[in-house]
Amino acid sequence: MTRDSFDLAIVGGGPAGLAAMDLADECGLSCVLIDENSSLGGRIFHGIETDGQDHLYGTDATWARTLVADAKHAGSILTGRTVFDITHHDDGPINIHILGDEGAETVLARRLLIATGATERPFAFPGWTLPGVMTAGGVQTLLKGAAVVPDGPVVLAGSGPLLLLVALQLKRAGAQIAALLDTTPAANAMAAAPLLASAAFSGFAVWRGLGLLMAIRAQSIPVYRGVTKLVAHGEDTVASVEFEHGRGRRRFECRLLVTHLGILPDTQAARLAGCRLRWEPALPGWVPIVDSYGNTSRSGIMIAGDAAGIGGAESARHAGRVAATEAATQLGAISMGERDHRIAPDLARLKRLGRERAFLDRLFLPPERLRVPTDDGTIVCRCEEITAGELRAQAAGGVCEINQVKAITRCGMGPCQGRVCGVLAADIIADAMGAAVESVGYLRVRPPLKPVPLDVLAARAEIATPPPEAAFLYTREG
Amino acid sequence: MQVVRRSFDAIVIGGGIHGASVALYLAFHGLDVALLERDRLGGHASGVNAGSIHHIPRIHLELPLAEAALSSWARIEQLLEDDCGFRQVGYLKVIESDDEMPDAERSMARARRYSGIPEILLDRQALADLQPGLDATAVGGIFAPTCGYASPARTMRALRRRLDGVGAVVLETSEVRRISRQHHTWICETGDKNWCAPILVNCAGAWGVSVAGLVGEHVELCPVALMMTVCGRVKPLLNTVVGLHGRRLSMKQPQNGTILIGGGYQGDVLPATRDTRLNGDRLAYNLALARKTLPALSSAAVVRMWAGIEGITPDHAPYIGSSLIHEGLWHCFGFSTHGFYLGPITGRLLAEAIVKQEVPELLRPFALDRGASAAASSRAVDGVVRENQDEQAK
Repeated sequence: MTRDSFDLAIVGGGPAGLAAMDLADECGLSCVLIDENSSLGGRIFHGIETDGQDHLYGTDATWARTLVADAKHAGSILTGRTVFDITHHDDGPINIHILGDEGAETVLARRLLIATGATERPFAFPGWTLPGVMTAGGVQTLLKGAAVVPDGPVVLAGSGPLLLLVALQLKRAGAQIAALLDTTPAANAMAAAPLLASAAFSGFAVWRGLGLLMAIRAQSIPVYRGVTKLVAHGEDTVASVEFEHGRGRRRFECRLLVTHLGILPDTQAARLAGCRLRWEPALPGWVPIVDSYGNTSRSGIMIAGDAAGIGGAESARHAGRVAATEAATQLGAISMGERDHRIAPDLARLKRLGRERAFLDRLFLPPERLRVPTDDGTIVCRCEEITAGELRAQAAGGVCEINQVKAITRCGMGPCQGRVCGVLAADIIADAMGAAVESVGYLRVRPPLKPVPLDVLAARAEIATPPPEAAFLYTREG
Repeated sequence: MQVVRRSFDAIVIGGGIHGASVALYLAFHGLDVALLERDRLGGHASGVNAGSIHHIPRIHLELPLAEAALSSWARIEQLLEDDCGFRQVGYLKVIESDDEMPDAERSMARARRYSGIPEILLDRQALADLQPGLDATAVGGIFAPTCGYASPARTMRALRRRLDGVGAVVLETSEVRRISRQHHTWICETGDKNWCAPILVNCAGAWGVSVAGLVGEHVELCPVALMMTVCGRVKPLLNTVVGLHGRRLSMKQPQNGTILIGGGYQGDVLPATRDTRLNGDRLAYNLALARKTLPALSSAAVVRMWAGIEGITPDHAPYIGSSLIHEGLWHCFGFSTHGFYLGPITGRLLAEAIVKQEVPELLRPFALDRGASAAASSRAVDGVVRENQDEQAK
């Protein structure tokens, strides 16, 4: 079934998508917002509309709630729908193929804004695929969405602000935290120090971070810094975690091991749509090529928020406004002068927030030794059960392009399409070749973005008749 | 600009299964060979097709070669020192209704007449015994036990290893931009390098026409993008490769439990980027047909869909043979979607033709001057072409 055509379709109901929706409506565009969750807010504000858990969102709760409320009046909202394909035929509208409870539908739009946010960087070490090992983002979603609190001892391991925040949130929710294993190298703080002053005067992140550290101390969570060589042990589920700290090895019993190694832009939709990416050494990782208005290498397709490069919730909100205004300008709803007038404060704010981000990026830059599992037996691709050793063998044989490695080993060919393992595999191959990760490339994404029941795709065909025209034909024009 | 000159006995353009096979066999004959590939070895149709090793539905011209091809796959491990994932599980063409029966019998008679490929006609019961779970309205089937499937990616990798092993020079990301000739020597220019040889073999697949164009030879070919679908792992459902007699479909379940669905449904080719675009309506038809044939597929999840670029000729038969205007130039492309399984046998026979200067019997039907019939039927659909040729054969 094909829905009405819209001026702007937004994929992702986080801060970028919500802010874009509101502004696009203000500029007179017809818009639709699509999100795979049943409620709005994105991952960062997951469950924001649920009463009584404002403490989970800190000072952002107020503006986030306003953002959701405003967006709801700004156009059509399609929640509980997964985008599984994006097609664009020449000058025609962009087709966004979505899947919901009622089957597949196609949304047509003149402009598409991808605001799919971030995804967690995979953190692979021996035992990371055991049940009971979860990412910080996953744990936080459970806290926000279902108010689930783990029983039994919890250990958190890794690096980055989200890990600290989740530690605190778990503790406050009543979880028993055995240890927080901070893997951030001591050298990072030294390297980031020169950026501190500029960041501290640009926004609140630094101050919030300090507050977080003090709160963790106040809650008496045992913190171990400079941790290396993590191993999770357990039979059917994680039972303990072992690591190196100082000169010795230590071990903690745990029922839940929460891991985190920072976040990366979710580029799956951008790659599917054919947008070009560039290597961003500050992350390090691949980010879509976008101009300051959110335009990508594909005309009509825009990206804003963390999906375009990690900036955080406030940045995303401003970037969403900028992109919506740009779309309105391209579609003739407002003049370029009006655009520039409207977005000047957003651009100025984005610039200040960028200085803050530079500090955070440097402080939490994951070292290569954490990005590359040293043990050959460590699983890299969970779908196809491919180990780090198998990838290194390919690199040793001279196969150095990630899509070739995929074709040979099937790494990244499973249902998740390399969403998790793509980044890991590239790091491992680059490390084994002694080459730069950008030379290894990134995985091609094939439709569907997420698995789709065969029934759904077959539903629109009428097989009592012969196949559609030119299903198999020699034509001279080709 | 630095100009490097390299001389070889033969240059093969195109690193698909045909280019790689013919280069390997030329090397077996003792020739010093260079293989020039614009993208990556097996990067297009040869590496991303569904890996069917079967002769149905083939035009009758191709049947004798198909028979030889099936035997070559049965011995693939001796050739490539890898089994290439070849599984001789047979190929089943399901007959959907009694109306199709006469045509199914004609098709079997044709296979018997032009080849010794064994085919068995199955009644309703035998069909159900061979492949449980099929659509209950199916009335029978044609089963070819010597057919099966192989892994294209693994085959290309094995070919690469063998080429390296015999000392053939394989150059990827080396697009031939200009071809000239001096005193019986072909000079192929790739960027700043020149590659010379008295023998040139055009195995450029869907781009074979462009390569022929570089030497002023006109050949007709239409690039097409053939779509494939893969479903996530399910319990064992398919004992054999399953297709239909009357309509286009091919399904197989490799040992990892995934299900590959194809049959030759076309997407679009985007020439500038050598990329493809899927056609949702035709894919839907393909999948609906798969589900009708094997209802259990209803609950399967589609995890990936893609298309590979191939070239289709006006009469759906490949061009294999010497150039019509130049000496020392050979063409081998336009396999019209039947390319993968013909790779090893064609490579062997063409290398023989080149070395002995005599085209083996099996390749003769595919000469470039095979006649006006090709041009006449250029706009016909596959099925129609098949019938026309049968008429001519009678």
